[in-house]
Amino acid sequence: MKAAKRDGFGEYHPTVCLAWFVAALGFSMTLKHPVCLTLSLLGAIAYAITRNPRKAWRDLAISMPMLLLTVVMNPLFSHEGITILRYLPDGNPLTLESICYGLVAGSMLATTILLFFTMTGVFTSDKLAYLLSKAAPALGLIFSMTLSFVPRFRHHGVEVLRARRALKGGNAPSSGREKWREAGRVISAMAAWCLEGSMATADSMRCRGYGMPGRTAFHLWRFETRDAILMAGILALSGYVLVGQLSGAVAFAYYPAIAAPNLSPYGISVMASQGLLFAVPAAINIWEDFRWHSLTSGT
Amino acid sequence: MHKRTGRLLIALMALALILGGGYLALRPQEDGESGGMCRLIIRCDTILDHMDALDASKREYVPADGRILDTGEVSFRKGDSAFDLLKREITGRNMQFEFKKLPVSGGVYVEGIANLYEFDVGELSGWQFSTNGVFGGEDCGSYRLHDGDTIAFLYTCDLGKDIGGSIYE
Repeated sequence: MKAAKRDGFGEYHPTVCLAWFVAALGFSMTLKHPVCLTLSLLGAIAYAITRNPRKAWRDLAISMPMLLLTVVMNPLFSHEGITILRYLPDGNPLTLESICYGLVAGSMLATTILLFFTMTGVFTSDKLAYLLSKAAPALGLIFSMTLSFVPRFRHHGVEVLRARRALKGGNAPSSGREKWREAGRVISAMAAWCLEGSMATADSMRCRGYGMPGRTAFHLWRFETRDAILMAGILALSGYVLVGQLSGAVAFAYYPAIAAPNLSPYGISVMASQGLLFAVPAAINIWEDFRWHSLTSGT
Repeated sequence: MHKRTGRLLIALMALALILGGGYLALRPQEDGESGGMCRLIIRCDTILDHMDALDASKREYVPADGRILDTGEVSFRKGDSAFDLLKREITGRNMQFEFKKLPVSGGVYVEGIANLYEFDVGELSGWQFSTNGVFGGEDCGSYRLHDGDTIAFLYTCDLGKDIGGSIYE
């Protein structure tokens, strides 16, 4: 029996996923070494593909052209660099360093876009509401109210429209002026309905003790041992990479000349940690898929 | 039928515009008559006094004597501006520079020469140009060269005060 594609990593506690995404986004935007950039991009692509292959193709179809676009655009705006290939028609030089930096910026952009696309898939509205309610309860409340508001508003509007038309004989208005009149009346009825509804909601929320200290809510996620282990791993790897980055072990300059400082064993270890960090979700997904298939293949 | 010919017409017009624009931009400049002789100097002595404030990656690109270029007597075409002179001499020597055209006034602003850019030595640093030792107020694209002029592009580290070109006095 073939199972639907599951996101093993996404099923961990939301705070663990959030920690990984924050670390991944932070490093993908700040590390400039070519090896680090490649590891970031590959990690993001691997996660997207192991999570949802079809959506991943669409995401890649958006992010890869952005990479190419940046490679083309950067030399048109930045003319610094010691290797002049030729002079552009407007007079400024076309330098090799600006092309290389275009690759760097494009790769950063593509990785960030991919990570954000994946985030929208992983952080469903219930997870977001849960995270926000922990971090900023007022913001969480507004967020969940807004989410439910739009479809409810639309539904109310359709009901009011149908009721009005049924009372008037069931025909849609013909002239433009009639259409505007009808729309205006529907909107005023909807607004009145919403206002009354919101007062009733506020009363019921107050009755149920919303906002009182010590009030707990139900949520699906419990912080288990495996969450603690993964969180510790993510924090440890991120900390190691951060220290390595701040100490300059993986520094790489592009202007005015491409300067590749000698790579020390420490630098290599920092890169390995970064690669490991970015590979975590894809590895978890592959491992979960393998376990699923090995468990179900016996039946 | 009308829609298709209309689209074809628009495509042809666009093609004509692109080709025409490309020709105008890329055609070889004809050599006009000579306007006389002049001299171009590019120096960055002031950076030598502020090496600690300079970007570490650019230290090796500052010449030890502060002299980036001294062309000696060169000829210029009639109607050339100071910027045209700079562009021709730098491009002819395969050196690096960067400029931008200012949108409203249409003037030229030099951002960097030989990989030494504005703001590399703090917020008050950048390039200024003088004509025969005098710092005029216009941009280098507006000043028309005269026979015997000496155009100097100098790097300043505090808005012109250290090279005598400050507008605040």
